[in-house]
Formats: sequence, structure tokens, C-alpha cells
Amino acid sequence: MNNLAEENTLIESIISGKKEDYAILVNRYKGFAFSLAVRVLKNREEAEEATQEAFIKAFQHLKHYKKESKFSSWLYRIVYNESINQTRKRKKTESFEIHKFDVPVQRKSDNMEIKDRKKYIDLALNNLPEQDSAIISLFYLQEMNLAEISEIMSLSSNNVKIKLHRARKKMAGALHRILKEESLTL
Amino acid sequence: MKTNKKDSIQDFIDGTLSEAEAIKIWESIESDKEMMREYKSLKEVHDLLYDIQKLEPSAKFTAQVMSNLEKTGPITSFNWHNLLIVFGIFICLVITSVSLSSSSAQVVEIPQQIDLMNRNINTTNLFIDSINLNVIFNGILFLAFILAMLFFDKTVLRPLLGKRKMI
Repeated sequence: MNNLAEENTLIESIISGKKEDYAILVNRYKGFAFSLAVRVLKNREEAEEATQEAFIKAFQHLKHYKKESKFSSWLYRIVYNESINQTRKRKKTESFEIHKFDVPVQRKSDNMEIKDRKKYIDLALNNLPEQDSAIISLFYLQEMNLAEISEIMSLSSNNVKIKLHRARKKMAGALHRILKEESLTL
Repeated sequence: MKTNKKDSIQDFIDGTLSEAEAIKIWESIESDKEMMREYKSLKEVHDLLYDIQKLEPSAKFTAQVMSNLEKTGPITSFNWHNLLIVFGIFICLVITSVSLSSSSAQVVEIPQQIDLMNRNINTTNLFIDSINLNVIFNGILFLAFILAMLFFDKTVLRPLLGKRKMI
């Protein structure tokens, strides 16, 4: 039995009342779902909350899931929407400037802790707008193609491609700036 | 450097170009220092991005989700939007049929025997003559028709066209 068929059988069993089987799906996708939420929200606690909420919503609407598409794509769409909703709520209560490509203020105190380039890339990634950050996460971490990402984010494939290119360019610029600042402070 | 050439570098990195296009853009990269710098910078980011690590939520995550599920009801395919639309159609049809059943109330006359002269109101500009209830019934029937179409779209057309799109 292939993955999709196995997953559909599992979903059927959950719908028919075996609630406990849902834990299998949660364990299977929690890492990627949480990573996506972190990229959008840039905060672990909020991301965990959003991911939990997304899993609960997915469970409640499991009957509406169309089995022709991947369950993961359907789930990530819920996670993405939930995370975006959280950022909207947050923006209402505070003025949150994460779209600038300035190096974060707290970075200087972290200088000595940053040991490898992976951390620099993480730092640069955290400075991306939430949508770009989510595209990068889906493309590189989940290794999804542009069509799948466009389905999750309700954007056209071409739009996703443009945003991916732009995000990568921003990342290159931000990385260059961070490394330059690092070499000046060390 | 032209913007489309810069985009082509990214397409080249993503491997979405045809073989002929890839060869052409690689020749451009090799012959142009600025393009080579751009390529190296983007390729470096591209390679590094594959090292993004999957993050894991807290250890109690699954347990928390499952315990929250206990608080929620059973899975249901019940759709409140559909119910509201059906309810709207029902109400419109009830109002129309009740109203049409009383044929004597087809036209409501607005009394015109108001002593307007003594109140210094210019009666020549007064517009209201009567309200034709047929217009109202037709309006309600039209609303019911729109709601029925909406219901048909949601329950039949969208699932059908969605399926075709998936294929």
C-alpha cells in the first residue's frame, strides 16, 4: 500500500471514530508543521500554539479533506492560515517591525554564540517577511514544488516563483550584511 | 545586467531551465563578472537553505493536541453555511406563498385623504400613490432564487469542478 493510500485508510478510521489514530498523523507532521509556523511567527511559543490549533481544526474538518490531494498540503494550508491569523492578531496589539532588513538589535550580544553559517542563515531567515519565510521553508525544508506551495498559500505558481526569487535575493543581501558586521565586530 | 538575466540565474539554480537555456545562461555567467558574483552569492544561499533544520515542538505536543481533541465533539460534516442558505430559501418561500394566498391584498392603497392643504404642503410634488405587493413578492422570489443558486453552487458545482481541477 502506498503512502497516500495508507494515509487515506488512516483518515477513514479516524473519521469512523478511532480518535486515537490521529496521534499517528500528529506525530508524522508536527515537525514540519511547527517549522512552518515558526518561520511565519518567528516565535516558538506562538508557533506551538498555532500548530496545536491547526491540528485541532484539521481534525474537526477531516471530513472536508479531499483525498485526491496530499494530506500534508491540506494540513500545511491550515497551519499557514492559522499562523497568519496569529500575526494579524499580534499586529493589532503591537507595532511589530520585522520586515526591515536591518540586523536585529539583540544580535550584538549574541555575537559570540553564533558559531556557524547555519546560524547566520537562520538569522537572515528570521528577518524575512512571514510570507517569504514560509515559501523558503516549504521549498527547502519540505522540498515542495511551486505548484504545491501555490496551493497551500493560495497564490499563483508564478507569484510563488517571483516571491521565492525575491526572498533568496533578500537572504543573500542580508547574509552579506550580517557577515560584514560580524567581521567588523570580531 | 538585465533583470530577466538575473531571474534566469535563479531559474538555472533551481534547475527549471531547458538544457539549451541552461547552457546559454551558464555561458553568460562565465563571461560576465557581475553575473558570476550574483550567481555565487545566490548559489551559496541556495545551498545553505537546504540545511534549514526541521524544528520540533515540545515533547508534550502530541499529548496536548490529543487531550484538546477530547474536549471537542465528534467529527462532523455538518455545514452551518449550507443550513443558513436553506433556511433563507425556506423563509423567502414561506413569506411569498403566505402573501400570495391572500389574493385580496395584492395592492395596498396609501390613503390620500390627508388634509395637506391646511398644513401648507405642496401636493403636486407628492409621489406616493400606492405600493404594489407583486413587486415585493417578486423580489422575495428573486432572493430565494439567488439563494438556491448559491446553494447549488456550493453543494454541486464547486465539488464537481474542484474534482475536475484535481484530475
